[in-house]
Amino acid sequence: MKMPKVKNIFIFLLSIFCLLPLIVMIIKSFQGMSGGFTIEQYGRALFQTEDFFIGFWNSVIYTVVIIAINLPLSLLAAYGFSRFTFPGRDILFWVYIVLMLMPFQATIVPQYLALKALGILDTPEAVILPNAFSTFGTFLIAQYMRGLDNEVFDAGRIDGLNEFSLMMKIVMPICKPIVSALTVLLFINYWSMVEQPIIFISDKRFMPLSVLLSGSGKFLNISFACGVIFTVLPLLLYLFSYGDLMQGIALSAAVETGGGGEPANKRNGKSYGKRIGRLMVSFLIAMISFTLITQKVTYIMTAEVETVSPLSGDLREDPKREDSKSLGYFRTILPAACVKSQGSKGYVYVIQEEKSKRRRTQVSKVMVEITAQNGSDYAVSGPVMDDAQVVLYTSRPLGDGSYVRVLDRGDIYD
Amino acid sequence: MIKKIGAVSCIVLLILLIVFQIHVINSFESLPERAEIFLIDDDGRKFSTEDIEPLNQDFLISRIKERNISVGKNKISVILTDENYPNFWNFDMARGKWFSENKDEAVISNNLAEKLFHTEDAVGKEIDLGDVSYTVSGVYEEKDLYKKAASERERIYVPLNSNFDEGNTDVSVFFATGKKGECEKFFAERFAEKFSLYTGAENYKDYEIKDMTRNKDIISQFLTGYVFIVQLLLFIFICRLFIRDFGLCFDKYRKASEKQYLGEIVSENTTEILITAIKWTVMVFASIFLVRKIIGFQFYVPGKYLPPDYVFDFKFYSGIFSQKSEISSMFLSDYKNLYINVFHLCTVISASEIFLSLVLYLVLWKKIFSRRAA
Repeated sequence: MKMPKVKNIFIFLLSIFCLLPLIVMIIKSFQGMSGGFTIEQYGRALFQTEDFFIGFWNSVIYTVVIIAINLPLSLLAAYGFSRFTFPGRDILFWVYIVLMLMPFQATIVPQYLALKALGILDTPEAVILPNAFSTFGTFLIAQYMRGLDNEVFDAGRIDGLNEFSLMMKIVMPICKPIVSALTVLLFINYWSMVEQPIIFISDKRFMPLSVLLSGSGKFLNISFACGVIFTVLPLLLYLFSYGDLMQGIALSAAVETGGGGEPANKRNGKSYGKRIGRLMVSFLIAMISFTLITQKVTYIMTAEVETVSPLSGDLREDPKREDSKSLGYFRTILPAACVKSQGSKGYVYVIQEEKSKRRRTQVSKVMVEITAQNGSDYAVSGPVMDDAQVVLYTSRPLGDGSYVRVLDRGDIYD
Repeated sequence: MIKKIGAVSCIVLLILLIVFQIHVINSFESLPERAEIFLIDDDGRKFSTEDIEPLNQDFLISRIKERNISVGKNKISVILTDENYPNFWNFDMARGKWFSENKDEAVISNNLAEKLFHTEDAVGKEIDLGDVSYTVSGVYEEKDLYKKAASERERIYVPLNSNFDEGNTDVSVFFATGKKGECEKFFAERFAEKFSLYTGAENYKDYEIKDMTRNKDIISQFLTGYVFIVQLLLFIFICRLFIRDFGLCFDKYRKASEKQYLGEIVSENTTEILITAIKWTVMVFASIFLVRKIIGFQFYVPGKYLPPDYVFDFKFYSGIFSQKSEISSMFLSDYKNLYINVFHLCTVISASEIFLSLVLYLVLWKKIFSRRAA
């Protein structure tokens, strides 16, 4: 009697240990920067982090498109392998298995060269195309189809079905569990892919959330909440197709799970699946709504700025009089409104363009030393380039790295 | 029958509200944009003509001073200002013209003219304001909307350099706008820079520049915001309609395909298929149009009302509210008064519009979808 209890406690502890990262992630997502319970992380992630939604929808698009191409191709290929006999079939299937076992790292270089030759590097196609066909799907479905009884096909033929109708009307319904299982496995695989986008794409605009979450400093304070939201969709999909997944992984149409191991959704009929399905749709609608709100909030929260270019020349003592005494020749002269001075030192905000095709503009804080001033203009020394765009006026307080909308790039001295 | 009358009443009321809101917004937008500069501590030094004069090179400036007096039974505000003042307030002159500076001329409203002279045609008549006698040079028609902005007192506009205040032209408030009555972005910042340059930063320290250059944008958002909400509701409606229609068509096809081939189904239902195709095409194009509009719509909120970092920083918002209540006792110009009134009016109108639209939307939703489901 003692052994099962000890075993249960051990399993319980082990499962807690396995769930620990998830538990920590959820708990930490409700903690503010200074500790204490807060939903600030969710507020920031869902209402004002544009990059989070760019990544999220990129992940959705990549995963959905890849699965939408991958599944039919795998089904057709598996049907061919399991139903037809043709010369070289076994060798080809063996090659499939070899390809399946090959690690991704071994095929990176050829894939990279092929994508470069096709001219689609740094585009979403570079991620979608190499993953559009996976030998794993074909292998899994072919193994499943091989277990189907020939009599089913013969009965179909007698009813007048051609090969395609046979596949659509007989094989597809039977293969539903394995298709569901494959969908979940593919979804989890592509939802969390990191290597392919990092290697084949350099533009952040096309990066999925899995890459952005781990690589961008913008998610530093909200990474736990983002992680929780990122987990919701695969979790719901898993719950949605739990029964089929269990059946599918059994790898045989004939094998049915026993009464004790029968999944909950099967026991409760279709209502469970429908509920989860509705939950998934609601989640996606909510994400669309949050995306729209975030777009509006980001627009409001982005500062509008007017910029000027630094000027070189004589700085006059009295800015109202051109003939007043010269304070000297200076290489970088900026209007006083540009420089936030603290004694003889100060800083300016310089415009930088984001290294992405989105070409958003950011500001970076540059420390300068004030060498002379006449009340209207400052002569400064520091790492301010001659062609730099320096922020003159801003509609909101700026910080280092803030995104801005530049209203006018004209030089006010012109 | 009652439901139909209710729905028609809602639609009529909604249209009337929209028309009224457009009128209110247009009336407000016809006023020039401006920045208002006033001294916080009125006991201190005032803005002198010499200091303000150089600003006329780059801006359109109008100085203003107010004195309360009684003329007979009428309590009157005497507004001492200059020739530029009509550029800041849309005066609809019913008779005569605006006064000329350096003359003892006055401009009054048609209501005051009726009260004082029992006629609107008061041009040329004399008004005694204390020791000084003024000749009425013009009578303006008071607009209903603008009347709301002004105080209860009747107003008489006289030249700032007339004898009323013994020729003292120093003021504690003046207005500024662009040369053409339009203010570009960052007008207030540009103005502050010039003001500091011309007057010397050390001369005036306790003054505030009230940036009202984008008040029009804020007010116009009541209508564009309502349109945005309607677009959003329409888009949801079209999507729902499309999904429902698609489901119905798919069920119909599935049932028909049990008995007929595809070709037979198409040939028997050609007209219906064509109508459905046209309907769906219209829906798709309407959805694309609406999505573009929804994405393209941008709100504007002045930077000072937004927290620096986190949008749900409620401490910041409560700070803003408490700050607003602190400055409420300060000088409120007619424009500011009008802005507050129009803002409140538009809030009420927009809330009513949204409520009525939602009622109509829910009625339509119930009618369309419950009928289709049946």
